[in-house]
Amino acid sequence: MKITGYTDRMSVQPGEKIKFMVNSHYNKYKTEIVRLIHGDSNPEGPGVKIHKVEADVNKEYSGRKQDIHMGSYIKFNNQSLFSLISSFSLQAMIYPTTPELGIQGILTKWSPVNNTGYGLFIDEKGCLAVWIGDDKGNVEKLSTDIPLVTGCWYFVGGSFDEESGKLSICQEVVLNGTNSRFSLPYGTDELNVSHERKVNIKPYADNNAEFLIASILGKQPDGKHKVINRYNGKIDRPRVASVALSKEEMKSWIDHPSGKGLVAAWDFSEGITRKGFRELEKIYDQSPNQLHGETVNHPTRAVTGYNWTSEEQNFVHAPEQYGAIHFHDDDLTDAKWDVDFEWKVPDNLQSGVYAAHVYAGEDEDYITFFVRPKKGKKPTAKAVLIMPTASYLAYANNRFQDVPLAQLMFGRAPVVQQEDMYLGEHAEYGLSTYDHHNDGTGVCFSSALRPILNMRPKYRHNLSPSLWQFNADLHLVDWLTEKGFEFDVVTDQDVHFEGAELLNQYKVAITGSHPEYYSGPMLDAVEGFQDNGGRFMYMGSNGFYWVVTFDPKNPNLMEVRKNYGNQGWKSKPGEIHLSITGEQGSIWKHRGRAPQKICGTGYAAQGFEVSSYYRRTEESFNPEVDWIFEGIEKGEKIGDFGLVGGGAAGLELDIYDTELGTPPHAVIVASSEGHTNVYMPVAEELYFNIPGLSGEQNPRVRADMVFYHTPNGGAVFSTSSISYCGSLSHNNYDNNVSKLTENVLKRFLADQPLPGAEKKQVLTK
Amino acid sequence: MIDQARKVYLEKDKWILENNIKPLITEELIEEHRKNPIGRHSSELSLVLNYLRRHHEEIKGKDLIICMEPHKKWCLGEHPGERGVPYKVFEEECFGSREAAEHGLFLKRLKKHGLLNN
Repeated sequence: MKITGYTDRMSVQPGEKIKFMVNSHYNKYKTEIVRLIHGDSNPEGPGVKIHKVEADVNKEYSGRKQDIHMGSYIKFNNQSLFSLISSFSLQAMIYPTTPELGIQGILTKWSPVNNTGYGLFIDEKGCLAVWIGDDKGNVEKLSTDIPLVTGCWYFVGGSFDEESGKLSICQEVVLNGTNSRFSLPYGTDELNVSHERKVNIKPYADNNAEFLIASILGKQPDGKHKVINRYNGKIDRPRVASVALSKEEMKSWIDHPSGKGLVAAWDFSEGITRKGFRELEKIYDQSPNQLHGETVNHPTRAVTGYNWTSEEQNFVHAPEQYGAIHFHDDDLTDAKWDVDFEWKVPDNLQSGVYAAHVYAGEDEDYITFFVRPKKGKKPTAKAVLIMPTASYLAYANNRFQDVPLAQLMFGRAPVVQQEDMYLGEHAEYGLSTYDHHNDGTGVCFSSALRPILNMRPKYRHNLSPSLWQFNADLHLVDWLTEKGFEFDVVTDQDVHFEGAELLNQYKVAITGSHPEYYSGPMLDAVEGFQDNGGRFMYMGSNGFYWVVTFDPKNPNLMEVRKNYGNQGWKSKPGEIHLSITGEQGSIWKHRGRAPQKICGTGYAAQGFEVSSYYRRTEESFNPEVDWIFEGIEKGEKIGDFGLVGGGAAGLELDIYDTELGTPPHAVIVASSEGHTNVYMPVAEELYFNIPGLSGEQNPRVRADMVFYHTPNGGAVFSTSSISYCGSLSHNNYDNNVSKLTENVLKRFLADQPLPGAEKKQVLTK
Repeated sequence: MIDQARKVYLEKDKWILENNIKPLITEELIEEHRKNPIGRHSSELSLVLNYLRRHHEEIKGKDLIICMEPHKKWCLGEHPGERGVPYKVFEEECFGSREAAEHGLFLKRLKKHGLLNN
């Protein structure tokens, strides 16, 4: 992996420019724009199909290494007042989550190069400490010498008085019944500390380090910010004074910062509106100095503050209790690489899945992107494939091999690929929304502004026995291409920002194999399309599940808050609302929008070692639906073959459920059977964990293939299985899964009404 | 998990190994796995596999299969337990198929837990 890269956007239209950022350990590398058709290298399948595209950027480039610097913090453009400091007070409410990891910056203007400046830190012993360094290399450090306790709120302060030479440090535990890991303040006599000492040096504040919150500025050989000693945990109500305040004065400043020496008093809750944060990166100083700052790498906002009482669960209703920001030493939402080349997508380029193939020596990367049709121009294709880019972001650079119990869920060992090996060594490539941060909290942001090594052709994903997500969706791209269907490609961001109007240009909209992450506007778009007579093919399972949103100013950034579903992590109490919008996160089912409403079926079970097959139901022989099986023998097993686990019904499975919104006139035309005990029902459908729930014993562990009419001549067809598309190419595309899918798509594309469409559908029972 | 809870967990895990897992290890069970390393298994083999895969809920030292060459070479490996550190690859424990690697891993784990002689 000596060459990796990313683009400045996931979706681009003809006539637009797209930028490519490349990290190359080779002095020279070559680029070739390619169209991606099939990325499964399995010798039992049709093989990799990647076609070269003529482009003016296809040439040799000079390579250079580009690094990624992870960690979230706050920076300030205006440093002048921080540089004028001689006496000072630094204070905040803090909730450290990894004090045991040693030195971490809380409020710092510290140069690690020559040990000058001042700051409030967690020291190498995990204790609160204040440091000052003069311009001659002399350093004084005062520690509480009492290790901070993980997951508890503290009031902390450090000060220096130039006149008396007094250096002070203090901390007090601030517990209530809800805000911390513990509620009763055992041993406060030991935990609440005030120390002071007279020193003979003065801080050299006009040093070459910037004042930061939650980190220390490291070396900047390339002129870019690189932070070190990154803090894990929350900070609430930080304040800076240019005088040494007493502890009592500092305490009064927690909620009423005013008076002598006020330099800055930040209120992290400012900017909260009824619809979430106005500007996610902006933080505001309440002092007359207006020292506003900007967060880097998206620390988590909309998190509970030191004064959270649990009566409110949504930050927009009680901003004053959500004045905290949770910083992580491994937050990463923008690699910030320099641009290597830029390509103007030709006006006549066909919509599809593309990549810049960058290669040198034995290394290569496919920097993947999606070319959508030009806005405002009537599409020539009648079908649109919605590439589930929100879900690609959710799984971006995931590390399932790091999850202790994953092997039980998979029913096999995860097969670690070379890309995974690289990610194991390179934490700075950023985490997925399945991973935990180093302090154990869940990852709620994912960004496309970094190389995403598992959104690549050829990549084999260890959650699947073979392929998953992006590369698995190329199975469908390949089948559509081989079968000669014309189709456009759009991304989730396109659907999110343009709504039903985008989809309504098409007769048929087709999903990928696992469109799991959906925003409210995306659901609105799909339902609007369905209501408008659009025909919808849901080609996977566990779709329309997690509530997500994109940053309106940065479509590369997605947010999710997990809990109450089948999940990689759980939001902490009071933190389930999305900071970008203020809406409740978790799964759509809990917000009254179960997937059954969108596609007739919803997530029921999962297992990841082998797949199975479907069998037709009695109802499927009804003349209104039996056209789906034209050319398929009566008793045939549907899809007892395939490149994903050996069957068309596998990995994740959805079922029909009228209670959750499957329209009563929907028909289960086939249903899967024969699943193993690795297949288990999903957590949100359980009331109690009881024996007998696994695949070999539980008839709810199945995939229901469903068809139903929607208003104005539309219809929905749902496969309800993630592995389905892996069966399409079997036997040179001549098989019953391919046949069935072709029957549906051909009918859906036709202008003629679908059989049974003349019947008026009325909600019953 | 704090040390005390860890200690109790490991005691109970050992009890499960001795009483519920050990008695299930037979030549027939190992043969069942060899014939079908991934897929539908007998209840006995499932119990044994779940125990081995759980690895006391620890990521450090967890066994992995590492694909060295797609569709050609799989080696056994081990998780270092932290990020930023390469996964261990045991170059002398390599196989020509994913299934063979899965069975190789099974035998290795049985030996590790004293359930199979070296």
